[in-house]
Amino acid sequence: MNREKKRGKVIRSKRQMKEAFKGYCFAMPWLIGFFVFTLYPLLSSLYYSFTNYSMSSSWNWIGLTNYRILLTQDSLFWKSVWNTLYYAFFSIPLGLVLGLGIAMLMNQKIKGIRLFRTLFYIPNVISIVATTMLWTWMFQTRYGVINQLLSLIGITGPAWLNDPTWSKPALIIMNCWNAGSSMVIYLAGLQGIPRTYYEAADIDGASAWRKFRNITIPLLSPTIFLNLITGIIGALQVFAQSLLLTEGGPDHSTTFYVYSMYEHAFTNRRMGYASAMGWMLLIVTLIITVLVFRFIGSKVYYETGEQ
Amino acid sequence: MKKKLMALMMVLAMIFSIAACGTEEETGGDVDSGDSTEGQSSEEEEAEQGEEEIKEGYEPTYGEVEIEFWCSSNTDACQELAERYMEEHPNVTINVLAVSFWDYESKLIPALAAETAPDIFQGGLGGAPGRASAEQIVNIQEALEIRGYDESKYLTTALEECKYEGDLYAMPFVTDTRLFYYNKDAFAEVGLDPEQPPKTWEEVYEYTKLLTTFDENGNVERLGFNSSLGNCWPWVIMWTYGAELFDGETPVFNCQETYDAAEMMKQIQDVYGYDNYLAFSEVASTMSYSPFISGELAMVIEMESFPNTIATYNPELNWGVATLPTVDGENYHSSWNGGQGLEFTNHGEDRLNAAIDFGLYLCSDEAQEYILERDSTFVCNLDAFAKGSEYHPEYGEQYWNAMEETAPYSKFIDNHLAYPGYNADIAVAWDYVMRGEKTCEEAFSEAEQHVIQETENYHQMNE
Repeated sequence: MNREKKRGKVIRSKRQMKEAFKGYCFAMPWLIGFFVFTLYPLLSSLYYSFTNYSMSSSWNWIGLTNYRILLTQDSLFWKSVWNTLYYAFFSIPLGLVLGLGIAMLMNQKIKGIRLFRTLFYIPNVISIVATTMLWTWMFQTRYGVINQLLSLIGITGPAWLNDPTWSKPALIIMNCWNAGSSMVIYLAGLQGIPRTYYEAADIDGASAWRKFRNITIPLLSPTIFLNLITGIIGALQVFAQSLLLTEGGPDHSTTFYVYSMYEHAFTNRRMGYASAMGWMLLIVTLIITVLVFRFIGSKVYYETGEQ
Repeated sequence: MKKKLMALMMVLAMIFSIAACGTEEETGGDVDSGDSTEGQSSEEEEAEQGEEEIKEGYEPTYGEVEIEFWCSSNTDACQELAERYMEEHPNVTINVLAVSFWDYESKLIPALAAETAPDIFQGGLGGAPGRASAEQIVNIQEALEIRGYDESKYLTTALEECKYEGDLYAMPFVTDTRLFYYNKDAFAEVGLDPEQPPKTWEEVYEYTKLLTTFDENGNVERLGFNSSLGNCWPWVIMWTYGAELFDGETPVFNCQETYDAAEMMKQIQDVYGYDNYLAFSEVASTMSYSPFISGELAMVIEMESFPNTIATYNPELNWGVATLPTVDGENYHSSWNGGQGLEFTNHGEDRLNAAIDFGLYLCSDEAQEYILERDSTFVCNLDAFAKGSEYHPEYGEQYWNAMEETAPYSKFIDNHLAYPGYNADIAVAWDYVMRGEKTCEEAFSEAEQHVIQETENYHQMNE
């Protein structure tokens, strides 16, 4: 009896091992990618953040020096933090509202709606370099289309990309161009709301605003929350626009956090320092995300009854 | 189980020992004389070195060898020269990789960090000391001495940029400089002598007043001069006033000469106003065109290769050229050099020696004359460069006179190992002054303080 049990256990174990082996084989491409291209660089950067690594073959452990300098002796660090928070503060709500507005419009049953949806999404599949070139034209002080339109209503447009006051708003406006990505997610959310709620509200004589406030917003809150979280992470990592459009200028007014990190890493060859900046960004992003989950996440309505 | 564990440990030990061999071979270091091998006693090595010095001629000892060469400048010429070299040296195979200038750094920097950089590559002149201090490239001083490298054949300023702690870590290959171009027809139109370009900045200011024209709306039709249009940076103008950027590691650019330079450029800009400059600048940068070539800018500072661009886009343009104006027309003749050197990494003795021999060929009279003739590039080999007017008489006597006059005064921007990005601080200070938002004292003091702080930060990280 015992022997059979033992034998049975061995057979079962072998089969399990085979299955496990096959499973790992199938998962191997991802596992290798994760360990080699994500986990290893991630942990390496954590190690380098405590060193004076400068892409040379030798480096020294310097403890918390990079972090100390970053917080107390780098004037551009705080400027870049301010620039990034300014950008995030305006671009996130603007992106959320605009994406939702477009999604509401694109949720109508009208002829050619698929074409409109495609048109609004197209900016997201265009290369950021091409988009930036386009906006450089549009933001030109004298001949740009934005200032030309403003002049039609008697407003003298600013030097968008060459005036420290207007350079960040210019990049925030440019970011609206990408509202199509959140629009698609909102659209999926909107189409998941049962029609019966709206029909019941119609019978009760609810106004369009009331339906929006009491049906659409609560039932769409998980989607809004998702877009908020991804928007926060994206905004804190804003980089390409400032690199391509303004090179951090004028007067460091568009030197965002990641741009500053890039400059330290590749211009000043302070890879250890830049790694420390990267980890600071990760910590701050985590804190903000946790706070958002704590204070806004509890207000999100899930149809399963969970909040 | 024990046996399996032992086998695994042995395999791991073998892997590590192989990896260790690779690392040892691939790390940078001084180049040996060419044929010294591990295990030889120092006496033997010295004796061999002595023999080579007496031999009066270096003889390569490697056999079949394959090397990698990366380039971003004069790429077609480099490819052709590699082909020629391989024909003459059938035992050497050179794999040339031409990379766009704009993508080059982003490819080279990680390769150097990962010790996978090619055997020989073009590196921006001025960057070699940084790479040498980071032990990313090889000290070639001894190897060049053995091969009888004659330093006096090369542009001194370029050669100095290749040195770190007194030793050569690169060979000067090609360089560039800035010249002052002007529109002769525009000069004649306003009654200026087309053969008399301005020699002082004061004259540039006076000429700008004459040459700048406006339309009925007050918008500029033709702009006289602006130092930011063309290929010029604040420090070039500062040099022509006698300002220097650093004394060792200490910034010294916050000085009266810098203030004078910035204020003069502001005075010139005030002839037409910042808004008009901006409109010009934005259109030119967006469309990637030169307002000088289109006839909308009368005077400009551009690179020495600019005549090629003019010939391509507006061959009818009647242009003249001179050295950069200075504060008094006499002192502080200056211009800004850039360019490429040839640098080396160590992937084994044979490959390194083959790469150095190929590098010497690229810097030889024959190769440098070929580059000059084909690309009309300012080559670092002075004997080859002296033949510029023979190869390119179409640029005119005035051009070659200006080149000859500029070459000895043309210099490289200071290499600040502790804070290489300092030039952005100078540019920001300069922009503040040009926009009239800060005085020179305020703007440049702030820039100076920031450079000092960043230098201190670097030393705290590396103490």
